[in-house]
Amino acid sequence: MSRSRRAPVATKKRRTSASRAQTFVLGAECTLADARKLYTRLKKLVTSRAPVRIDAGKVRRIDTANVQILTAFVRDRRAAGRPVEWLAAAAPVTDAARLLGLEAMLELPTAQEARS
Amino acid sequence: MALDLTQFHAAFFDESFEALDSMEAALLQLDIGAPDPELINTIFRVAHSIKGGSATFGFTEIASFTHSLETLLDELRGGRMQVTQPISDLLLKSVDVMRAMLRAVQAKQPIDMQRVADVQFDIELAIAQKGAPEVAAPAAPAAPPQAESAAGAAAPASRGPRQWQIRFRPFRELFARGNDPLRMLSELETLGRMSVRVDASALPSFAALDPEGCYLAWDIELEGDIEEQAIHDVFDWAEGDCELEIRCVPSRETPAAESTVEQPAGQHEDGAETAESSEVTNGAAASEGSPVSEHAVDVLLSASDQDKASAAPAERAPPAAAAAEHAEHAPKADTPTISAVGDSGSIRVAVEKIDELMNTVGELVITQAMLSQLGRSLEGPMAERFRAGLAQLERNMRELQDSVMRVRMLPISFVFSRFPRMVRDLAQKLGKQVELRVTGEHTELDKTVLEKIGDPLVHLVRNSIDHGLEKPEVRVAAGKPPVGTVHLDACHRGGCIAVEVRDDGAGLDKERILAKARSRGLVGPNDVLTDEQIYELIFLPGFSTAEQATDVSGRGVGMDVVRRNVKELGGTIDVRSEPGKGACFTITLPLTLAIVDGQTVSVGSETYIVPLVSIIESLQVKPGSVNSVAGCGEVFSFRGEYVPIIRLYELFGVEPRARELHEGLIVIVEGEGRRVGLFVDDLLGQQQVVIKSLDANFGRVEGISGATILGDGSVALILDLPGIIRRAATRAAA
Repeated sequence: MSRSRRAPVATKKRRTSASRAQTFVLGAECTLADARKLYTRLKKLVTSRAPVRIDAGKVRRIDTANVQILTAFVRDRRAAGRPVEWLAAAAPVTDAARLLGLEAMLELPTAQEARS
Repeated sequence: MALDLTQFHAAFFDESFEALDSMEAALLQLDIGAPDPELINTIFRVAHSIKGGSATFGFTEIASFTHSLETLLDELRGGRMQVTQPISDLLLKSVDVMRAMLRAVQAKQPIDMQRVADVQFDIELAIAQKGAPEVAAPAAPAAPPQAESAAGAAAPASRGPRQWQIRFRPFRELFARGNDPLRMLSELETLGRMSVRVDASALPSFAALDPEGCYLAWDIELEGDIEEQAIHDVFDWAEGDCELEIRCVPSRETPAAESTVEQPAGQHEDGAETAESSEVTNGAAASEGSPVSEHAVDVLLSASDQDKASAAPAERAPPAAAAAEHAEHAPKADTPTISAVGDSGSIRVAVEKIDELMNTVGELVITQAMLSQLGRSLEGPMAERFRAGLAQLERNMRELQDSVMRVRMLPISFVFSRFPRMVRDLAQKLGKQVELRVTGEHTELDKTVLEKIGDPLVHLVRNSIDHGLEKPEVRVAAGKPPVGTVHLDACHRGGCIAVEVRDDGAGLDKERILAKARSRGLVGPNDVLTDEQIYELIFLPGFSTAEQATDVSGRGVGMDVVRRNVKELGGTIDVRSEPGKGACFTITLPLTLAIVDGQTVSVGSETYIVPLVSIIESLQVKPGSVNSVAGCGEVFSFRGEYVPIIRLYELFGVEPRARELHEGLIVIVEGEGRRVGLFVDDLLGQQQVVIKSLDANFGRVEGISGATILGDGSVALILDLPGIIRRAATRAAA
């Protein structure tokens, strides 16, 4: 019993320390069929106090629905003072953001670089 | 809850098949060696859209195939490969493969992957061999891919660069319908220099977001030598799922630009309200665009737009409204605003909805008939007014019915459009030279009829080319031009539509038909038949005079099936032929299968409906003018021709009021080119009746095409005259 009581505490501590860097990895396929899954996963993170880092380096295909979800995510977090950091963004992601005129809102690496 | 994409499959298939038709039509127009770049662009966009749609819906085989095809088309439109005859053939084959794949997926059947792989291999081989001298493109200068995409290589250079402003406001369900703005923007970018501004003001908080709903909108500036149609084509698939405005603004260099603008005043007023709360959400969307767009976009990003976006699509304000307050700063558009929703004046509506509407109209027709019947029995001062009201109701009903009917009407070009390809392929296969002439393709007929007329027409056209038209050398020897003509024609005749397939070939060979019929025992050795009767023989089951069965025609299952199909549609097929000059098959069809103008007749206590279009005349015969002929029953002389009499009460086993011919009436009707007199007790009146199928619950009854409900609630059977004639003939023979 005592062990089971202690365990959550330890877990919580680990979470607290890990919460400094929550990395979210996007899958290779980000199409409409995957949109709801992406949304559900990100929903857990949108209000998280911890900084979120997105790794979109493996994305091979992405559509507007998924870019839109990412945009709303980044925008809401930024509005709450919790910016999102991009670890990587594959060409399909940056291309999509550019074509859709969402580069700036997404604060993709290229857009960030461009501003600096 | 995950979005069930299968609900959008039907729309995807419909649109894909339509797009493939247009792709095929464009391919057939391609000039070998010097193709119109716009046509190649059209073809490319179809492949691109189908690829995108099939990828969205997870049809990976189709997506993979169209990807290869798209690569080939990209080579062609970039001028890196030339359109040769083999390439043209390969592209047509690709259309077939895509169609087959779509059909298989639609029917949830396995795809013939061998066929797909063969054609895909050919495509990839063609691309791989593009460097070879015979397929290289000497004429068109090969532009590097980037340059092509930036400058819009495919646009014709006739008009010079133009600047287009595109307002693209997708409806919420755009994604779910298989459309992806990213794809459209990507296609637009290939047309010319593009700058995009997004309007994200309608994007709700993450928590309130529907991940499958589209909240974004775009203002796009596109510059280049671009035709308006090319832009429309990009948005073709989103039509009905977005608001779209395409405006041409004279190039920035044109000084007179500002003075040419005209915007409807009403739109200015509407827009004033939205302009007040301008706020740029995406301030970073910088552009070197003209001042107009900056103002316009400011307004578009306003909060009120967000409100509009959250409203139902149908309630959205006119798209041109937003930029009103800034209109005086705006460069003036030189073409009227075009909206995708109102553009072609058409929307896509599910057939079921129209059928439902039609059904309701049918019920109304019945109710109106019931009221009319009631009105006739009324008396007194109010009765006259009641009847006048009823007459008005009847007129309105007819108008309503006509309107609904028109909704279901489609031009027969939907069917005719498949023939250029078919004729081309057949002519090639048979070594014949054939010119296809099509007239009356705008003639409209009911969608249901349209869908079912395709196969019979295909058969007739195949027959004309295979059996009718001679080989070039034979034609020349007969003093004809080497190129044979097949003429497809459609026109309205009375309440029907007549579709003709005419050729200038050898005509039907009477001797061979007769010999074949005799050898099969269909005609007695000493029977003398008129030309018409001989031609009728080709419609008998299993009859074929082809020397050898080919895969084109001549399996002997042809013309009887054609006639049966036409008959099932309530139509008839006739043939005329002149030796050496050609044959002409005429299919006559009712315009609709839902409502028929009928003559109500009584036989005993029963009421039957005779379709009005089949009635020649109704008359009373004098005693003694009727003769009995052995094997033919009774006949009477009608305008110099002997017409057999069919006593309906005998045919249907009904107890009649009149047994003597002079006590009742004869209704002369025509079916399948034959005239008969129907003996009935009385004529009751003419009225429109709604056809209710009997097949579903009772099975098919020869001589009866359906039933209807009369004004008094009773059920009347609708006569199928060809069936009646056959049934009577069987009885007479027995």
